[in-house]
Amino acid sequence: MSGWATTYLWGAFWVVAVLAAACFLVVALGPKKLDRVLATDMALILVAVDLGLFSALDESAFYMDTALLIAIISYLVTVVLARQLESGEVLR
Amino acid sequence: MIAEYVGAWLVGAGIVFSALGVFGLYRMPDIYTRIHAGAKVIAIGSAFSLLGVAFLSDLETAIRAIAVVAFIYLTTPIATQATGRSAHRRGETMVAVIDELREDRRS
Repeated sequence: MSGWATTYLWGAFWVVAVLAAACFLVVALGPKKLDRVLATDMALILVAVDLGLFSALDESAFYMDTALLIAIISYLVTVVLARQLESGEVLR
Repeated sequence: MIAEYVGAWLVGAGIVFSALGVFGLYRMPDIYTRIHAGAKVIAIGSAFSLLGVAFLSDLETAIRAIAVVAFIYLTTPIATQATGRSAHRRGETMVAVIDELREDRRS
């Protein structure tokens, strides 16, 4: 990867980090519970994207495996919390 | 060299979509429209960014990036549908609704 691409990816990495932090701010502040659930989903996906960008920067596939794990956690957290808020039970 | 330009363009496009989605999370008036904005981040933003990473990295990382995109595309509809159904059953009201028929019948 050439020099300008590395600089570009570092810039993209920090922009995505700021976007993820903005989503985590909504997780912390609300205004409603479902907004927090939605923001959790978005924030974790943005963290997965950030790990993917870092994987390209580090030239290692290890962080991409971590990104897949974070994506799985994001899906499970969203579905479980949404069903919990909907009916008070996750499995029926 | 061309792959680097394509990858950089895709990463940039993904970041623009993600930024617009996060902006929508703050600015949209009700939960349904916020879900709509959030789906942009999850579906289009992450897919463009990770496909850009696939262009910019070696084959091993590229295959895993495409696998992550495929997983996100498989699971995002289920997660957003669960969130929307939960909002509806909890009685969340829709604010951003344009009901022109009702306005016509009033006048």
